[in-house]
Parts: sequence; C-alpha cells; structure tokens
Amino acid sequence: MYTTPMKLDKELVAASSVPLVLSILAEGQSYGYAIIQRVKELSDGKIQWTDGMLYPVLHWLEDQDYVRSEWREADSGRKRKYYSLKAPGKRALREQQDQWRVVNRALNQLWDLRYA
Amino acid sequence: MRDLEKQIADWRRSIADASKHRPETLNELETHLRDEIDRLIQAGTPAEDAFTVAFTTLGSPAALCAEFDKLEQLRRAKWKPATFAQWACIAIAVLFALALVPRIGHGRMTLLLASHVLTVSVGYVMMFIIGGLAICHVLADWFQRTSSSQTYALRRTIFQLATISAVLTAIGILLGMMWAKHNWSRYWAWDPKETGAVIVLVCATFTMGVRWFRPASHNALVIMGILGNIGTGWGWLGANTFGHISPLLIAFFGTQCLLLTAFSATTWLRKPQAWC
Repeated sequence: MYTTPMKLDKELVAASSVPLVLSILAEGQSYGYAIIQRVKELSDGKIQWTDGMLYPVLHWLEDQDYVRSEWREADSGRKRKYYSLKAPGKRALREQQDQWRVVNRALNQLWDLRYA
Repeated sequence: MRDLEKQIADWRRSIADASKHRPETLNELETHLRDEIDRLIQAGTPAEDAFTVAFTTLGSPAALCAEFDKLEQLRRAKWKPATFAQWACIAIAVLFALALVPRIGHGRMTLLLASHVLTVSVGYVMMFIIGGLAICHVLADWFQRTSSSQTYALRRTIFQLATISAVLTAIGILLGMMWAKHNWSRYWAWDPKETGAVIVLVCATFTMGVRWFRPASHNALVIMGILGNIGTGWGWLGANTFGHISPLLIAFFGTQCLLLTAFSATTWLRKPQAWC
C-alpha cells in the first residue's frame, strides 16, 4: 500500500521539541546527533527536524537550568557534548507530561466519539 | 578525504562569518556534521556526496544563524522594569555603603556591625524590589498581555536578585551572630529582629527555589515574589515596629494580599481560555 509521507505542522514540531528532548534525556545522557536519531526512530521518521535547529533548543534548556552539559571523548575518539537532565528539568518534564496528557485525552475522547 | 576536510573547514568558516557563534557551538555543530557524514558513508553514500547531504540535513549557515540569533535575542531580552530593578539594587547598595562609611569613620559603628547592616539591608531591599517587580508584572499583564521575552527577563532578574538576596541575608545573619556574641555574649536569641532575618532568608530561599519545585511555572514565580514581599515586610518592618501595628503596615499587607488574591483569581479564570 502506498502512503504519502505525513508532514507535521511546523508549529506542532516546535511545540513538541522541548518535551521530546527532555523525555529522551530522561532515558539517560545523550548528545545532539543521538537525540535526533532517537526522535527519528520514535516517530518512524515522521518528525523531521532540521538537525541544526536542535542545538538552540538544547542551549536554551541549559540556560533554564534544566540540563547540564559536558564535553567528553567518545569511544571513537571524537569529542562530543553530552547533555543530562537536572532536577529542575525532571520537574519541567513532569509538568510537560501533565499538559500533553490533557491535550491527548481531550483529543482522544473527541475522536473516539466521532469516529467510533 | 582531504576534500572533505576542506569542505568542513569552509563550512565552519562560513558559519563563523555569518554569526558570532562561540567556538564551542561551532565544535558541537561540526561533530554533528561529521557524525552524519560517517553514517551516510557507512550506509553507502559516496564520500563526495556525503558532505552535501549532511550539510543539507544540518541546515544552511543562514538558517542556523537565524535560529541561534533568536536564542541570543531571548538571552538579551530586556523589560524596562527589570532593568530598572537591577540598577535600583546597585544604587541602593552604594547609597547604604556611603551612608555607613562616615559612621565607621566617626567610631559610631564597628566595621563588623556596618557590614552586617549593609548586607542584611541590601538583602531585604532586594526582596522588596523582587516583590515590586512581580506586582509590576501582574499590573502590566492585566492591561496588556506580556510577551515571552518580557517574561524571560522577569524570570532571569527575579532569580538573580533572589539568589543575591539570599546570599547577602545569610552573610548578614552570620555577621550579626558574630557581633552579638562579641557584644551580648550570645550568638542567637530569636529576638524579633533575628526572627525577622530568618523570615526574610526563608522568603529569599523559596523565591530562589521556585526553579526547583515549579521550574516551568511563571505564575508560581510571581506569587512567590509577592509572598516574599509580604514575608520580608513582616520580617523587617514588623520586627522594627514590634508591638505597634501602624496603619501604614496594615495598608502594606492589605494591598498585597488583595493583589495576590486578585492575581490568583484572574490566573484561575484565564485557565479555561487557554483551550479555546
């Protein structure tokens, strides 16, 4: 079966970037490239970020004291900047989860009712 | 491979020219570019095409710079009352210090006592300024919804001032304890002024700690700012007018409690509108 690749609205992609990054970092520390690969994997490639746009988000999260970063040498010998979640970031993630669950529940109720 | 290195060097130069990125950011972006090139080559993309594909995926230098510039604009975001508050704190600290110098010179005050007075007074005033800023933001938000950059500037200023206030008050308390031990032969006695200082310290610490227990909440910060104002008023003015409830003090607390109630009510009323 042929399906047209779904393109998410730019606004939705932007709005979901912070909860996605925080959730991925909640799994363990990671670096920019790996975060993008994880997002692609989780969304079957449907969430398409221009890779470079992730970094301002990561730096903003660092400004907000949600994440910390450190440069470390990977096994390959390449130096990478690893990000990990700090306590305020964990709390911010919980708040984001609550908010997105409200939206998710409301939409599910509406759509289940209408398309049942 | 030499071509690839040259391409990466050219790309790095073009990004550096287009914006004032810090070398660390450039290194991070370059690592990303190299990771993507490696993945593409492993997936079978010819080495000569890998750079072009990776470059496109990462985003053009202009687009990248535009995104980082947005972040810089947010970092430099200014809100006039917040800037005024910062300058007011500096001015008040200088004025306090200038007022204390002659007293030390004339031997009416020891350096230890003057340092205690200076640190606690500036710490307390900063808490009042934080409260004033929070009130200012509430009023501004009622008449004209504040922008995200203004909110960012408010958060940044409140956290900065609350941190400095907590540190200064804590230092002031320690200096006061040393002075009390020297002059009254005891460190602490929970007298009204000492208790007041602890109240102010608790208020400053809680305001500073909003980022820990409600990091994403703007309203929590504003509410804590006003509560901190009330607490500091009680701790400072209350301690100094102990036993005498002046009409001015009642007006001070009354106005702020009213404002806090009104802000909480409008925040609660506004909530459902967010889903419209």
